[in-house]
Amino acid sequence: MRKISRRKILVYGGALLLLVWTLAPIYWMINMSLSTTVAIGEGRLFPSDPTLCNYVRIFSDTFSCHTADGASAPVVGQAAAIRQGLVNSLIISVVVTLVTMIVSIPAAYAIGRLVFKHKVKILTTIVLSRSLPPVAVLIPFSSMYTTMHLQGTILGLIIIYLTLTVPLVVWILSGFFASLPPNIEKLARTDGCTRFQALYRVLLGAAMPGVSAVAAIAFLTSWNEFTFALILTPATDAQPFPPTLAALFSHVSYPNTNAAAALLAMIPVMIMAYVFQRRIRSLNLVGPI
Amino acid sequence: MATKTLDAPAGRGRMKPPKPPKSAAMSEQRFAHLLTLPLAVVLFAVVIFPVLYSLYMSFTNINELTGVNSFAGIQNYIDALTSSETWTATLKTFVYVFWLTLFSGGIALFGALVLNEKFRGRGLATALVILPWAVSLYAAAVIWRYMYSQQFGMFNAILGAVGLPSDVNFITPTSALPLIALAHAWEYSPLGIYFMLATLQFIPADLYNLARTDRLSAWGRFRHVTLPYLKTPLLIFLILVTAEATKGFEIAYFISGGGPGTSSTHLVFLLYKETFVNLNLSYGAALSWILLVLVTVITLGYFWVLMRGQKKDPAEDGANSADARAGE
Repeated sequence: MRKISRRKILVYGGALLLLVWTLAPIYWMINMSLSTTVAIGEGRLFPSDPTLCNYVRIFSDTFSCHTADGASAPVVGQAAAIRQGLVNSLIISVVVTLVTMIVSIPAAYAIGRLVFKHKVKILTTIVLSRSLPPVAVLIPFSSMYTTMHLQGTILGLIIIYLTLTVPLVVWILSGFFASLPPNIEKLARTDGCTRFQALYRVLLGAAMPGVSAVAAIAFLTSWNEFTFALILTPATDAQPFPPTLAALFSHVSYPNTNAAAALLAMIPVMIMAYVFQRRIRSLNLVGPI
Repeated sequence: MATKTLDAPAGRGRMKPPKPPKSAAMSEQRFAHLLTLPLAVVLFAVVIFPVLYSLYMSFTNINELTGVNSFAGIQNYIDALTSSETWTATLKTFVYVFWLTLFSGGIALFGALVLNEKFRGRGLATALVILPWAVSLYAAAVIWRYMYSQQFGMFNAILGAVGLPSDVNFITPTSALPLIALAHAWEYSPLGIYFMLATLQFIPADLYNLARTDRLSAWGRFRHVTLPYLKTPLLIFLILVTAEATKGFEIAYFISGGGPGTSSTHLVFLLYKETFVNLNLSYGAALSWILLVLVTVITLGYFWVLMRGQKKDPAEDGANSADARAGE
């Protein structure tokens, strides 16, 4: 009896530790984003006088909100850039996800379920491209983009984001397709389906949960991309949200406002990851090694 | 023989069988090539060509102002390899890989073992654990910048709450790399937790029961049943962590800016500084190839360990050896 309870303490203690480790940093951002500038300087662990003022300030340069401590919160003056950044991020992520899925689904299906000649070459290229550090990828791209006038454009970012999403998606998805029962197509073919119709059957039937989870991963990857955007679109209309946030750090010295802006970008992806986590967990993210 | 080959096409032409639908008649080979064609085009455009272009750049002196490029031979490589900055940064890369491996591997192993136990709220905990991975590296960098902050940091707030001096400067020349690695591990370890958790759930409960009847202690069960299963996924995860370490640019950018001084300027950060701050594109290209060689060497090292481990164990994987040991 004593042994069981000791085990229980260990397990619950471990679980608590894991959750605190995971959530405390996120909590700290929430705490900061809800705090007044005065409270934040005092290093309180909980927001005394919680305020939504910081969230308002990043979206409006005119709205003056008074904090509980009586001081009127200064205007941040970055509302237009932040709005533009969020819109750009959304456009880029949606287009990148669509293009990635259109290119990757058929290829991943072929790699995962068919036998053909150049499979190894394609897989090798994918492994290679997955191990390239983004800063290294940027060097040829930034030089090419200067001559092609793609520097500082949304199109330029969409193209370079494909270097991240396409290999990742093909990698995960081909493993997923390979793990599906082998005779779906055979059944479809004996029913008189063409190869394309057989592909649709696999896609719309067994593969849908995996495919949607991978699409979510592609979206997260482009929504969260920072390095490419920082170098290729600084201070342009094409700048997505992450480098806008980085600029906020150097322009503005209100950590609570910065925390609010950062959380704003995190909330959608955290919701998405939470919703898709079961499906994401069922995929082998590490790939078919 | 000859008549047969002559007759055959004629016969086929005369019969004119109804043409089957195009893609049903297509061979698997052609169908696969058709499906992978868009991917091949994209991979060529955004991976192969840029990589080759980067190689070309590293052998060229690029003058962005005049637009005149001249052949540089291996001068950029010589410059990079004889610069003390490169070697300092290389050393820091190894240190960073060490810390990131230690933290990520440790957290992933711990998380997977905890989540493999049965407890109330386990489903929720398993779901929440993914959040750091979802917010991505740059957001993790922003978050941890504020965790460590001397003025606004959580650690200092906690120190203050228990009555200790609360203006500790955490990011010092000696602590910068491990602290950045810890933040990086926070973001990256959920992937490892999920990966190892999936492996753990494959271990048949019978093995543990067997081990229990053999009166193995909890540690013994872990050592002889769990660990053999985890060895391969752990090594695979460590390979990935090594590659991941070379992507840790944004985390250093936000938390330390490569500093204090140059104390956290590892190769990726040096690469960024040389290429995009000092605008030395050709030199940066050469440096990036040096970095790639380094990553490849480390990765191959792990693969070698992985392969050797598997050869030693003629049973295909950890599963069978666990079986054997637990049955002993």
